[in-house]
Amino acid sequence: MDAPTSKPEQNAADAFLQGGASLRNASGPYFGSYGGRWMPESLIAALDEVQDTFEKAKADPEFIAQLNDLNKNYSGRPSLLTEAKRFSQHAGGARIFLKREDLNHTGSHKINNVLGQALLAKRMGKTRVIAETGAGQHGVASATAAALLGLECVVYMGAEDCRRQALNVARMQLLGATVVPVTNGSQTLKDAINDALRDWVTNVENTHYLLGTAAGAHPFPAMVRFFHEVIGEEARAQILEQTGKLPDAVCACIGGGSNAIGLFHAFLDDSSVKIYGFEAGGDGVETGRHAAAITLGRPGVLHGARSYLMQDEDGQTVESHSISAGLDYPSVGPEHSYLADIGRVSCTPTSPISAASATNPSRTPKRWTRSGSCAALKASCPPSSLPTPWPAPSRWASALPKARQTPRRSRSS
Amino acid sequence: MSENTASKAAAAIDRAKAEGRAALIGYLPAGYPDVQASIDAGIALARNGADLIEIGIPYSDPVMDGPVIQAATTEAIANGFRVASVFDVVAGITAVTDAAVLVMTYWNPVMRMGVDEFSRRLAEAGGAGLITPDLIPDEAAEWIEASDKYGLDRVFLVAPSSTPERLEMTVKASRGFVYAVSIMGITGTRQAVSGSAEKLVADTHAAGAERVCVGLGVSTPEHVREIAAYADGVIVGSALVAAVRDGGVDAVGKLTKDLSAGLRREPAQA
Amino acid sequence: MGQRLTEGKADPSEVSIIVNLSGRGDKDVETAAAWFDMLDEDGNVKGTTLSTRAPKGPAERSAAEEQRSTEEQN
Repeated sequence: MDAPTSKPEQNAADAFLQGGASLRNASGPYFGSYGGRWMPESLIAALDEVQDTFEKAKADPEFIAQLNDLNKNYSGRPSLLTEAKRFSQHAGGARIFLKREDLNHTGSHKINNVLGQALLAKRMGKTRVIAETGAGQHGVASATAAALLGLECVVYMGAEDCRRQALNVARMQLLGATVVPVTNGSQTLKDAINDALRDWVTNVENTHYLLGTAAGAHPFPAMVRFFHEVIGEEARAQILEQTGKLPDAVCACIGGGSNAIGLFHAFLDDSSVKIYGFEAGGDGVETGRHAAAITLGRPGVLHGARSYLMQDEDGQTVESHSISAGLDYPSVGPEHSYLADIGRVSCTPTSPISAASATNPSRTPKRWTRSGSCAALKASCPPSSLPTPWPAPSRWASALPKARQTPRRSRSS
Repeated sequence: MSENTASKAAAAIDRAKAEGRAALIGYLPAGYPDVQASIDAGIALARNGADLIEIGIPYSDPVMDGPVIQAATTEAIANGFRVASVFDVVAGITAVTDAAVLVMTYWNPVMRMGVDEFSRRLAEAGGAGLITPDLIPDEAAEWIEASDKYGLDRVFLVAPSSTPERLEMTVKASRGFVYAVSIMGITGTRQAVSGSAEKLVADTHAAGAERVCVGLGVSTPEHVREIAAYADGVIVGSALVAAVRDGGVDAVGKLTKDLSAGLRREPAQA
Repeated sequence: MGQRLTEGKADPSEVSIIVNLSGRGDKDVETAAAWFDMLDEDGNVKGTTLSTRAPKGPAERSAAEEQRSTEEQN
């Protein structure tokens, strides 16, 4: 793995804001030097069609009304903003509010984007949608939306993820989707995306690729963000109602970064609000087994976008590792790379190893780094008796599910 | 198409044309099964009738490749292939044959080495240029600059889905030849060549391309004969890779000889 | 993060933070159970036969039964 590249000076975002320019609604294809369309020519016409359909739909009150109706009466939006009162004592007394995307239908934020794109697929006259999934959240959401709208659905899922998340595989199948276990390459999320792209280029005439994160070729990053913006818009109104002021900070976990960009977007122009993204530290950033693309990757192209990427010195993608299935993506949405570069979003890898050595209070507190996965996940399940003794890293290693202990082929150096 | 008298790929296609036939372009992955074997296989290609040779860089995420090429490139990487070895493969083939040798690569390995650095080393190795399956001219400013600087061919792809505007733009940006993807899909052998290929070649010629070569799914002498009737060159990939896998250098030589029999535009009995 | 943001504040409860709870986390239950040392070597919740692994499907079940009957025959 390469040494971290230095980020441009941290005041660029302030300058941006002082100049009166907005960081919101960036339409792509580029976010600074990131984004674009690093894609085979065969798919360019399809990307153009998606972009054109999306832009027309966005400006069509009927489409927006249809989407709002589904969000309200199908997904169950708005999702709650719940204060985790007992959690404050672990956070220096700060009040912690949870944006409850877990309460949406299908159990995650993924449904926001899936409903939007599935409606677009119908508008384009496509009869089939394909999707990739890591842990299964996006796959389940896609299968659900396809069932709702009468579309054929095929979900690509790494063979290893299929084994670990067998119940989600069954759930997708019960919803009528076909789940294809992917045995190519590293058999994880990025390989599932590769196979989905191969399917798309072959069947593009009747198929829409329902990409699940704010990454990939233009228009996906801007489009996926648009469908998730509702998270931040609701949260901003809810916190104003509950506390009478804007929050001091907002934070989210970042794999590809769709839930994060959805929350962050509403706050990008509120210069008083600090924004934090947590990347998966995996077994510890020192080990090279992590998914901290922004913190430790360097710019490259994967799946159609230029963005921070975990790659070796030959430009081969390095396998990512996360304790939380679903954050296992070796790159990140291009807008996140840009926002990190200009200093608007601070990104930190979280892992049990760094937690063990985080005695310096200026570093990320232990509470937030204990599982090396999603900060939000931790906040949702504070231990009942306090203080909880944190397992030592060695015990953590032995407690890992067996598959994770097997050394996997890695080109990281 | 930007013209450059130094275009090695154009010269190789024109030599074939002067002989009254289409050019044969054979694809092999660098470092499969190892670097020396890929050089030997490339030489066998050239000595048995290939006019141009396309050397692929094994890459971790080959989204345009089917199972045969994926398996080969995955094995090459597992065997320790390093990107810089591709220059040894190119130099090894150009040292002993007249074939024009192009490198086919996904873009990230080039970007990682640095586009200028990669181009300089490719030119030094005697390479003709690059075929770039996931780089469209819209994103290629750096590569266009470097390829002009080092006199390298830029082979971009066109597909049955390309609009007339995109065909014209891609033809303008290309040098050497334009790679016409015969079918919407990925590499791999197929029973029949898609009917969309002939129309695409005609459209690409009409958009101003002097040389258009057809690839994807071409695996038999019959396919070659069919395509040679309307295209300037015929590109064979997976079938040759399977030959390396199953029979090594000798099998590559034999298949190349069989394929090149289909190149003549006039049917044999005429 | 909360500690850092509340550092030096007279009233830390003036500080508020929104955390995006992106999903339900069913997928992470096995990982969390392992973290809290709740599982035995077979992936069962300690002291029980309750497995965190997915239940066997009909195909697997019949394969297992077949194997058992073969073993019995032998």
